[in-house]
Amino acid sequence: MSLSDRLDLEPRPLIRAALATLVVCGAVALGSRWGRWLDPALLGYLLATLFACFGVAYRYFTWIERPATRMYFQHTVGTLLSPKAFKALPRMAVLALDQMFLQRFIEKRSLRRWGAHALIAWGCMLGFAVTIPLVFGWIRFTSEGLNSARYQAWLFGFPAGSFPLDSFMAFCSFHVLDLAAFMVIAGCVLSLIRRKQDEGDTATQRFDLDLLPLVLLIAVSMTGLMLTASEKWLQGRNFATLSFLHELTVILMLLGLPFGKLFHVIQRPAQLGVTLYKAEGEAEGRLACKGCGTPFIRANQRRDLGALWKELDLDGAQHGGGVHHLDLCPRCKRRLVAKAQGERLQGAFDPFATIPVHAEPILDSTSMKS
Amino acid sequence: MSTLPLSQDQLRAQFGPHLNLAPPGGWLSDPTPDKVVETHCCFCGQQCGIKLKVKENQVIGFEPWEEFPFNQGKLCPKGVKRYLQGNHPDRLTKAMKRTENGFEPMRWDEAMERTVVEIQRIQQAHGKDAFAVLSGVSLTNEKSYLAGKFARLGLQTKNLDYNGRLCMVSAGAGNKKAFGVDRAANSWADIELADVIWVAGSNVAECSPITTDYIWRARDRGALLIVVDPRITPLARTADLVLPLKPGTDSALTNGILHLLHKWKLIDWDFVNEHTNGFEATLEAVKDCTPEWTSQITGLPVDAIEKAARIWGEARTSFLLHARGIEHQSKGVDNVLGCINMVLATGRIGKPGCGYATITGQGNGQGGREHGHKCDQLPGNRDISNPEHRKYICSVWGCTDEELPGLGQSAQEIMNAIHAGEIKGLLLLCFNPLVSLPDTEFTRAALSKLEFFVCLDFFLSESAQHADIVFPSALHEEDEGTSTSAEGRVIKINKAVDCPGDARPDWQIMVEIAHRLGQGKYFDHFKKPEDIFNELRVASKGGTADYAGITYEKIEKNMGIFWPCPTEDHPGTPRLFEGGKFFHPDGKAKFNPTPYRPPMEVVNDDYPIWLTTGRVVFHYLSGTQTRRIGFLVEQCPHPYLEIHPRLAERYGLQEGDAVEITSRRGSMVLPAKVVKTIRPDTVFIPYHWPGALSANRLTARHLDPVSKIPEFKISAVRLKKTTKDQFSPELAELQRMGFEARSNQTDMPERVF
Amino acid sequence: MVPQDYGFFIDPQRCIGCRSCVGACAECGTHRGRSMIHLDEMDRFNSTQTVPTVCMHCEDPICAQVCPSDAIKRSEDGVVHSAQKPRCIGCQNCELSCPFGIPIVFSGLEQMLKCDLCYDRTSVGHKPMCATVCPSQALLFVRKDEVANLRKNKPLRDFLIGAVHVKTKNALMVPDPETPLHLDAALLIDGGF
Repeated sequence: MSLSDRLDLEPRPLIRAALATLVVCGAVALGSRWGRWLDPALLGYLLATLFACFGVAYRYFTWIERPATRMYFQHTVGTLLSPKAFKALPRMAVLALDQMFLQRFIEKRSLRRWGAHALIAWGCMLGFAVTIPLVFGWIRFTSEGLNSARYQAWLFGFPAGSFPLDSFMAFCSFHVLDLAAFMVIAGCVLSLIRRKQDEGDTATQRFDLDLLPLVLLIAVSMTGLMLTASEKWLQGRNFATLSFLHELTVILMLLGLPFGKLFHVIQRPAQLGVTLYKAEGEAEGRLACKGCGTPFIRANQRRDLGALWKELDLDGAQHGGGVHHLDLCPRCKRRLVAKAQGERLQGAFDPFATIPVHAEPILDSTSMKS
Repeated sequence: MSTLPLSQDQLRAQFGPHLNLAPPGGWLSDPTPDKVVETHCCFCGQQCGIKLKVKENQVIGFEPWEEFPFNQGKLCPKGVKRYLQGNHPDRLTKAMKRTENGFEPMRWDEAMERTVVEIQRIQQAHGKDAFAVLSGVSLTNEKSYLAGKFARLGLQTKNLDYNGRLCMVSAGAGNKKAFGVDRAANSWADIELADVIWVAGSNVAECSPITTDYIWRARDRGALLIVVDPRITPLARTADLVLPLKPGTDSALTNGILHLLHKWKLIDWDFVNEHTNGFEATLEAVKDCTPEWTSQITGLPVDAIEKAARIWGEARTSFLLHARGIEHQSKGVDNVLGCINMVLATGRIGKPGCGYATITGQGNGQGGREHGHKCDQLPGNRDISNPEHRKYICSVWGCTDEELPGLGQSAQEIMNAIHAGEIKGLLLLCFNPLVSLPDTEFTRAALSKLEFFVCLDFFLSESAQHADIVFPSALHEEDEGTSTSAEGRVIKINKAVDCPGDARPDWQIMVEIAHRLGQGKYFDHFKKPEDIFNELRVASKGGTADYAGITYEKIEKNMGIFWPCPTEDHPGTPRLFEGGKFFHPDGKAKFNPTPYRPPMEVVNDDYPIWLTTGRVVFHYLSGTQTRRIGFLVEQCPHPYLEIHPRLAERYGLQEGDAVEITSRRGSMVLPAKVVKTIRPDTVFIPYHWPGALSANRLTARHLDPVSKIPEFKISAVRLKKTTKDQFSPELAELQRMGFEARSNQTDMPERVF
Repeated sequence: MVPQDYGFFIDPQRCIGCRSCVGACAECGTHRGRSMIHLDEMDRFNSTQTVPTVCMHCEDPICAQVCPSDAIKRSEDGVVHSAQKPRCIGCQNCELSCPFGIPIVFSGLEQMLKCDLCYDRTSVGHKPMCATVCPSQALLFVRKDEVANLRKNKPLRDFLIGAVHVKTKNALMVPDPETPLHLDAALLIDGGF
């Protein structure tokens, strides 16, 4: 029995994830000039990031192997590789702005949810945007020679300008992470308050899936802020302990990335693909329900769902007269259940009844008058 | 001169109806309440228990009250959304006067002053009885009782009546004739024990939805259901036997059934001989009512009539329910008595699973018709013309017999007298006659003739728009008190929130007017609703509707007490007539012959089609409350004409087409709803809307000679296909509101169909 | 955790079309203004029959199988939940594939919502909103062992769509539950509406 079987891992995604991780390793090696510019203090973070990278890649590749996901993935890749992609570019940009950047759909769910989510999302993005290049050794800051009043920035091992220690630029560089931490903490706290007040969320949330990520994010941000505080006001007291705690929380979060809620960051762009898919379907037109004749299902989705059902061994869902269950609109499906129940009940009502239950009132034409 | 000061559009902009779509603060506000108040639904006589969630003096939602025995948490859509009548933009919070520029707020004192001066002026000039009071039975027992005392001793007028006159009076009169008492004979618990359930003229599913479950529980035990109705209502759809008779022929059917019961020897002679009077005369009256005769009158096939008689006659236990369908007729009392004859002849009453009831329609339709709220009645269901009864009430009230006015006029008669200029002043509360009385344009003309018209209401109803002075009164959840459900169960209404602004409970307003009229000695001791209830207990003592032994505490502890309850240690009486003991002096029930007579208005060549009117499940009475609640308007924004395809074809009508309906009173244009679930010779319009959309534009002011109920259920009309541009602006406005309610949800589902 | 000795029993035959369930569904803490239950007219021209539909909570939900984002989960107590908010991308696969026509995709939200048995209520021992208020008790939520006493008909949890078996947590009331209920479109098409 191979290792992958025992861990219940899929071989194909496993190989792909390993390859993806190798590519990242390559990027790290290249960007840090074969490790020369790696910061030894950040090695722990690097290892955890690489693991997370592997985990996320593995989960991503498993995910897109699901028949339903593959249906959209292949379609999206097809679109992107086709000449249509160029034409769709402006629309893609607008969609990306609306869905990924502004996340307007969350605003429609609730303004409070959107506010909290935006703080967390942008806090995290900002944090990662700074820390990942640092951890990968792509960016480093050093004191400029003996003149400790200036800082030298290095990009991929090449000097990328220097600035005085008391400049605005320096302030921004040193405190951008603090800003990110404040955003994340605020967002997480707002989320927790909202969750506490929302009866629905209170009932359905799970600690490991919904609350733990928030707690972890707060822990990461708090320990990060404490590092700044220690350095700034406490003359570096407890810096080592705090540094260890920060590293620990960050590593925990990174290790959890592939398994928990935060994975949705990777999944979310699929929404763009779906939006394009729907637009194409609309252009192609909707097919009529075979029960009531109302147009309802987009032609491309009917085709793809048909194939998907086949793959899921649901192909037997055929009614008499060549009607597939997918050819019925949701309303007809609902009515069908009651109709079928009604058929079963025929005769279950009283045997006395001579006037059929559904019969129209008995009348002859002469009774139009009294 | 009570004509409208502003156009309908201007009034609508200011006073609505607007829609309340979401709880205070919106759907995403924190739904955690400060407190939860156990009370009841205000819509309909079933008086379902409900818990209101209250936060910062606003009702923010509801919670089902599963412990309350009647409905065990069940609610119809009106109950579910009832909480949205609170915190409403249309709510009146200031006293107002009508000026040339519309309604203007005024100081409370000033409004009182003016009201009292006008009352005194009219009464001095035209006599005490020239000022009338019209009231309603969505009021608590306390307010109903007080309205009676207020009119008689406060205003010293005999002309007091109530909108129960449009609702339960036929049943009440019939019950008093037959049983000597006016109450459902059984609690609903007996419905589920019955083997046969006969429902006559009641759209149970829409007008008393919770009762549906009681009927189904019996059916799950194997009970058979017979429904008599010209329409295949949702309950009738599944019934074991449907008798879709011609409108207005109900007493012919009951006579025909009694004829067959006798012919087939299905009479319970022991019961009849021992516990009833008058059977011989009644049998004599039905001797010619053969199935063939019955079939000819009712339009039902002979075998269906025979089947019905067979099922009813051979049943071991049974429950007969009826409602407005048979009562809203010029022979409403006869129809009721015909049903009672069927019950008495089989002796199936006063025993477990054997019962009879009218399904009272209005919120406090039962309690409100017991305690002197109507022109012919004194508390405890006493008779205002009976010297003994008068003497007792005088002793309770501390007045002399001369001070206590005598028999007054009924609701429609008061409106007729206003129209005739005999009554000059009106105090109106809890009543919207402009929607609910027949012959709308007549009512409008009458209201315009009043010299002074004062109205107590929480929203500016269509009738209130004609008032000179409007006092803002309390919603159901803003005051406490008791009411009595269709079962005869006295229950406690609890206060959830305070009145907004200057609004006050109606009882306080009545007490203040009486005080200012110099009659304070009869009213000043009422400081809280319980004071009124305690006087009501004394006043009802010894009457048939005896509340003497009922206290607030006892009601809350037992979740309701069934009257009669003569002493504090008495447990109440869920089932009447046990052991065959009735309330007539001789302890017997009385059969009453009900020879068939046709409706006052019958179809002819000019008006060849029967029109019947009724409710829909989403609205309550004149719609003053329910037409302001978004969800309910979304489900049913406007009236329509229900018409059978065969009849529709004759006029070339398709679903949604505009059809002009004309009766001898007026006409209106509505969209057609073409359905097979109605007799092809009959059309139906729901009645909850005002003005051009009021079904009562078409109905007639024909009254039952005994109960004085108008014949809402039967009119003769003619139809004409017309074009959609003939729809009234009101209809377009309501369609717009229905759309607003739909699209104003937090978002729209992307329905793929 | 929803108590496992309780069941949801649906009897469309009793439905009176009052839409109480629709109104009450929106009042439940999980839904707040969005109603998840469906109330359809069977065919108003011919009949007053109406059809209330809540999620049947399939044992192997097709909606979850066809979900590209793996967003639809069935909890251990057998309840199939609304799509997880972070994951759902609003593709409508579930809405179009559900054998009973349950899920609703709210487009602006890019999110599928569905009947979740009022999880905030049922997980703490209350009944779902719709079944609590339903005046005719066409929607019934009671202990499973009570049903036989309450109803003439018996619960059926086994449906056949062509050759595909769908087993559910919620039950439909029929006289003969031993035979799976065959949902054949011919009933709608040939039988008229």
